[in-house]
Amino acid sequence: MALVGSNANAWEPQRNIEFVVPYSAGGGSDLNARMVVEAMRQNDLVDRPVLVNNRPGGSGAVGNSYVYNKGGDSHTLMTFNAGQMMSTVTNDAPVQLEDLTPLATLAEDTLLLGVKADGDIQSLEDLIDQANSGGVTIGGAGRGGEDHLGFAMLNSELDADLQYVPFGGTGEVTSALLGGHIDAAVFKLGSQVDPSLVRSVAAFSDERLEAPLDEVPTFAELGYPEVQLMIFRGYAGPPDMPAEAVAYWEEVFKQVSESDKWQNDYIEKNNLIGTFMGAEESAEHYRKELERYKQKLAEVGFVE
Amino acid sequence: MDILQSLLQGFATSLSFSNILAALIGAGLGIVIGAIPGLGSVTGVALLLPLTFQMDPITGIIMLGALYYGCMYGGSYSAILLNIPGDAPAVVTALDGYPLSQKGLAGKALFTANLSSFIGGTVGIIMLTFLGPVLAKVGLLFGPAEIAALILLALCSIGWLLGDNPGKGLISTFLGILLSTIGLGLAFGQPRFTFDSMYLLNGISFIPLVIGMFGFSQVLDMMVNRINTSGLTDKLGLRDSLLDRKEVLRVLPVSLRSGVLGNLVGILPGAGATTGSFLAYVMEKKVGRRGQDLGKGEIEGVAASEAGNNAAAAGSFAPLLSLGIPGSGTSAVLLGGLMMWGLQPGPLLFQQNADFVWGLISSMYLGNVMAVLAALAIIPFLVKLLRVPHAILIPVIAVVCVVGSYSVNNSMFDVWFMLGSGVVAYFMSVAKYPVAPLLLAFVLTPRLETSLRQALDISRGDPMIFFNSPIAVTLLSLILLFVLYPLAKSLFLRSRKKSDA
Repeated sequence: MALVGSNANAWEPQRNIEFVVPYSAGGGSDLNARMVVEAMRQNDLVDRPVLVNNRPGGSGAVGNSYVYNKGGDSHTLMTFNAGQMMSTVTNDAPVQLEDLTPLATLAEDTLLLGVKADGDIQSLEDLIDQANSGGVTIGGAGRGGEDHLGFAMLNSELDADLQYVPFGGTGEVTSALLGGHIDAAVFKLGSQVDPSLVRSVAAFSDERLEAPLDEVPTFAELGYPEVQLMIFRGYAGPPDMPAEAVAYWEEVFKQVSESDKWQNDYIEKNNLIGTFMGAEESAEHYRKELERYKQKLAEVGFVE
Repeated sequence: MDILQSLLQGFATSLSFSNILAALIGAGLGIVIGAIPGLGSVTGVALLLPLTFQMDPITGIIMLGALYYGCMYGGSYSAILLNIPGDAPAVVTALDGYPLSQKGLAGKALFTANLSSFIGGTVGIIMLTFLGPVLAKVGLLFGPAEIAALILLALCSIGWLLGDNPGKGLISTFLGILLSTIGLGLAFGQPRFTFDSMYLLNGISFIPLVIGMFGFSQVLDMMVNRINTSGLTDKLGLRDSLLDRKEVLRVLPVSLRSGVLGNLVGILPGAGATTGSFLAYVMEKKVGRRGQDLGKGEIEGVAASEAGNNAAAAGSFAPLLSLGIPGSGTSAVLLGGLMMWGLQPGPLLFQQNADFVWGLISSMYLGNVMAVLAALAIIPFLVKLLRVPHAILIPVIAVVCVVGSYSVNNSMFDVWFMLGSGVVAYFMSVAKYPVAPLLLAFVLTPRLETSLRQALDISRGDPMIFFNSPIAVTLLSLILLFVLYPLAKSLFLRSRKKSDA
C-alpha cells in the first residue's frame, strides 16, 4: 500500500534502504541518521527496512565516494552536512557537491562567540579593544571546519588582531577557555556549553536565538552583517537519482521533520533549529553556501 | 560529612534489583566488547546508548558506566593471553602480561589485572567522590603548553625504557612518530604523506595497526616457530590463578600509587588513559623494587598499567560531571547521553540533579564490583584458550584479526594495512626491535604535536611559553632528570667500557 502520496505511478522502495553515514558510530551524523530511522519506523513512513551503514574516513570523503559509485540508485541515502561539504573544498576531494543529489534539509546549527563568564572581557567591544592593544586568541574545534570558518568571518570583518587556535573538540576548547589559556572561543549552539561558565557575546545566527540565549545579540545587530553562519544538516543521494525517487524521499523527510519524535528527541534535546527545505531548495542553498565558504576560507588563506 | 551522606543516599538509589542487574549485564557485555580487538569502549557505549533511552536515566547510566569498566577489564585479557591488546592502554599491559602467560602464569596475570584494575578504579572513584570538583579545577591549569610538556615526558621515556637495547627502542619509537604524521595534520590542516589516497587522509587507524603489529605478527611467529605451549598449561585452574599473600602484598602498593597517578592524568584535558597507564608503568620502572625486571614478565608491570588506566577512566568523569567537559572519547559519548536524558552536565548538575550525580558515582563502585565478579567467573574459561592446539588457534586468531580490523571503518583498506603491518612487525621482532615503543609513540605523538602547535599559536611563535609556566618547567626538568641524564650516563659508561677493552 502506498503510504506517501496517492499517485499510482509514484515510486516505492523495492528492497532494503542503505543509509550511509560518512562518520563513525556515535558521532553527530550517526545520531542524526539513527534518529531519522527511528522516526521513519515509528510513523511507518517507509515500507522497507532502513539500515544505517557507517563509512567513515577522509573527513567524509570515503562515504561521499561510496555513495557516488552507486549512481542512479534510489535505495541509497546519506547524511550530508555543512562540515562534510566544507571538507570537500579544503581537501580538494574527488567527489564534490555537484556529484551528489541533495534531498532535504531538516535542521540547522549556528555558532556563538563565547568568553569566560567571570573574565575581564564582557562584550564584543571589550574583545576588539583587547585585540587592538595586544592581540586575542580564539579557540575552536578543528581546522578547516565550521568553527574555523566562523573565525575566518570574524577575522575578515572585525579589523582586529586575532589568532585562531584549533583544538580536538568542544571539551578541550572549553577547558582551555576556563583555564585562561585562550581569550575567547567559537562554539556550536548544539554543543550546549554551560552559560554559568561561558558567556556568549554574540551569535552567528541570521536572527535572535530562542531563550535562554535571546539576550545574545547577533553580529548583524552589532554592525557585522557578513558574520553569519547557519550550519545545515541535510541528506543527499547518489548522482542521477530518478526524479520519482527524489520526490518520494523529499516527502518522507518532510514527514520526519514534522514528527513528534524528531521535534522532541532530536531538535529540542540537541538544541538545534528545526527547518525544512526540499530537494530543490536544499540544492540551491548548498550551492550558495559553498561559494561563500570558498570565498571566506580563501580570505584566511586556507584554500586557494 | 555532607559528601558521605550524599553518597549513602546515592547507594540507596542505585542499589535496586534492576540497577544491579543492569550493572551486571553492562559489565559482562563490556568485558566481551573490550576483549574483542577492534571494539573498544567508545564503540560499545555508542552502540548501547540508544537502547538505554527507554530506561530510567539512572539505570541507563549505571549500565553504561559498568560497560565502560568492563571494557577496561576486557581489553587486558586478549593482551595477556594472545598478545593482542584490545585497546591502546592495554599495549602497556601486554609488556609484562604476555611474558607472564608464556611462563605459564596466565591465570596469575589475569587475576593481577583484575585486582589492580579494581584497586585503581576504586582509588580513582574515591578521589572523584571527595575531590572531584577541586581536581577538575586543577586540571584547568593544564593548558596546551603544560600538556605538551607532559606528553613529551611520556614520549621521551618510551624508547630506552622498553626492551633490552635502547638504540633499537629509539629506532622503533621514531618509526611510530613517522607513521603518526600520515594524514591531515591538525597543525596546518594539510595532507601529509597521503599519496593522494583518501584512505590515508585521516591518518592510519590505530586498531588495524595494533592488530597487525601484535596479533597478526603473532600468527606468523606461531606458524614459523611452532612454539609449543602445551607443557606450560598444567596450572590453569582457578586455584592456581589466585595470588598468594606475598603476591597480593607486591601488587597492592603498586596499584595504589599507580591509581593516584593515573587518576590525576585522567583528569587532564586530552591526556587520555594510555598516557595514564604508561606513566604509571614508567614510575614503577623508576621507583619500584622490581623496576629493573619490568618487561620480562612481572606482575608489578601488569598492576601498574591496569591500575593506571582504570583510575584514568574514573578521572575523566571529574571534568565531565563538574564542568561538563568530557575528558576522553568515551565520556564525550556519555555526555551526548546525558543530554539525551535531558540532563545538563556542569557545575549546576550537582545542585539540580544531585540524586542523579550521586547515583552515578555510587554506581561506579557497583559497576567496579560487578566487573570484578564477572571477570573472576570468566578467567577459568579464558585460560583454557591456551590449551587449544595451534592448528585450531592460528586460523581462529587470523580470522579475528581480519574481522577486527575490517569492523572499525568497514574498510578493506584497513585489512590490507593490518596484514602489511603484521609482516613488518614480524621481521622487527626477528631482528629484536621491540614493537611496543612504535605503538605508544604512534598514540602519543599526535597529542604532542597538537598541544605544541596550540601553545605556539597562543604565544604567536614565542617558545618562552614553555618556560613561563611553572608546571611546564617542572615537567621539562623531570625529562632532564629521569630520562636524558640516565641515558647519557649509560652511553658514557658503555663508550668507556669499549675504550677500556
